[in-house]
Amino acid sequence: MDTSHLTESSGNVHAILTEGLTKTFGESDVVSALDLVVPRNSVFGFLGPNGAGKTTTMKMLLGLTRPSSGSGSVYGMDIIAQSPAVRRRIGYLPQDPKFYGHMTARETLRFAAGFFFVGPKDGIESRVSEMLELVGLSEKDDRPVKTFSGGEMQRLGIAQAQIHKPDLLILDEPAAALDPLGRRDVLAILERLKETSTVFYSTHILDDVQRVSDAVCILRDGRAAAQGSIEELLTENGRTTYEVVARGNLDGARNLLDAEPWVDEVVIDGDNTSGTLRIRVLDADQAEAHLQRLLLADDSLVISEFKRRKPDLEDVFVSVVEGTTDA
Amino acid sequence: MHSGIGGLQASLESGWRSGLSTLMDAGFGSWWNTKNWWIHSLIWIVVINGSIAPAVWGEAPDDVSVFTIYGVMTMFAAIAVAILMQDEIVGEKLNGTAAWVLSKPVSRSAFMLSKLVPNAVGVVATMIAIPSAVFFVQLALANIDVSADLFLLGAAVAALNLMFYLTLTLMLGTLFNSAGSVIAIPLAFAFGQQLLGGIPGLISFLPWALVVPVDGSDTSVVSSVMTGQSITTPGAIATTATACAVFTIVAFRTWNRTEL
Repeated sequence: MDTSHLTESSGNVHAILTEGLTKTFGESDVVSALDLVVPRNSVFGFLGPNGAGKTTTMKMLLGLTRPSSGSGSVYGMDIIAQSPAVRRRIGYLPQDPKFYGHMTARETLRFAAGFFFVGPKDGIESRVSEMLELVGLSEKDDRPVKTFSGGEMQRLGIAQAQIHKPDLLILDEPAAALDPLGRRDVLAILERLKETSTVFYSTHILDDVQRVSDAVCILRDGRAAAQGSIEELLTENGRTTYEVVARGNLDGARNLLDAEPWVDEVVIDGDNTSGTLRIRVLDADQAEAHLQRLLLADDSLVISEFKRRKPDLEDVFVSVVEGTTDA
Repeated sequence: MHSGIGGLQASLESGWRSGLSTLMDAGFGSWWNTKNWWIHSLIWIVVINGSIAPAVWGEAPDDVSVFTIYGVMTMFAAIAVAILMQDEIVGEKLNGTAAWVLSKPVSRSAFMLSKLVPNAVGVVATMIAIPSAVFFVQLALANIDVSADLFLLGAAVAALNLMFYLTLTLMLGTLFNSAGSVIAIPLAFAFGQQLLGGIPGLISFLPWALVVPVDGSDTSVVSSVMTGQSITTPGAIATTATACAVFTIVAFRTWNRTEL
């Protein structure tokens, strides 16, 4: 993928920049020549099916796993040569956060804060309290972490990742273990953080991505199959679909539409005489101009419903992951 | 990191010291700010001094000195060290806490040092130093003469045996990904050394000879040192100390390359 248009300015402009980043386990590439560009102060969704290489990429950025080839930088600092300095600017929430079970939530945050601050004690305590408040764990601050539920662990994970107010938050499935209310709170936190930090997060919940993200990258087999702002992806990869509920010769209508160059695919949901025609088009403007006329010109059809469905991120994701689109 | 959160002072640790003070505090805290230290101290005071008491107060066979019994009992402490340490590295690798800690500005060396130093101090203090101090008092009460310097030196030899199992278990934790292998190898070695006695001369170079009499001798290195006798198996000290150093080096090197 050509990312020159995204990288032409100074490397420091971007929160994350990778070039040809590759991780090989055995003979298979888990991450393959990944060119990733994450702009500063953006909420960046990192998407892909299970095993696409999302977690491995995050671990390479954090220095937990060494790249097999390629390079990467965070705020212009090399992820290998300057790893401790890189990690000083990152807050990380693992996919399945695990902390020392004997520590309380407050002790866990105090422990995490100790890697960034030496004092004063009152200031650290105040920051710890602020973070507990932010994630709604103030009432449970003295409970050992081993008694926490999955959702509470996730909240604590978000709090510890932010303890030092990092420039970059890397969140691996931040809403995975949360109920709908918890998920809503996390999304609100992400939106709030955008003002001061860059958020790079992976998730499978595409509705959330479309709601809060500025840009996304969709991984397929370890490669960036699509990357850009949500609007760009929807425009470039999304296929507008029309749904037409009709009676009559549906097969004939399908044959008629299939002959049009701006039609991508026609599927009949029902039988040959009654059902829904789902028409995916390649050119939305052409479809808007001609589709209704074509169908109405067919006397054998009685149309009871006609609607246009705009593409959403899920459509883009499915088409990119299934390989029908490559941006 | 954004500057100035409520006037907090940034940590200036860098290089191999990155994260060291926080990890050391946590490591020492897990021994001394919890019940750990007095539970272990109590157990080993009872085990070591309880076993020695009959000999000190006149009930032991004539040909076994109290110092020999002391050495043998510290062998049980060494086995306990292996059991105690089995989860230190491998457990954290498997449950993800190591990855979490190392996602902070923490050097791998600092992480390993925080496992080695606080645990070494913890086990030596609670399994050797404190029970040995009680043993020394017991000897004084029974009017058995012993030089304090030689006694300390003998306890240090017993501590060296503990360090062998501690460093071995730490090293295995970096090499394997299952707790089973990490505990099985030290235990097999601890008990298997007796079988190696069949190979002439070999056992006198193994850690076993530090605390247990071998090759028909009445005394181990520990008991010889404490009683001021000449040491019949000095090679055991050199090989054990060398092994501790090698295990530590391998542990650090492997850990620096470990992918989490």
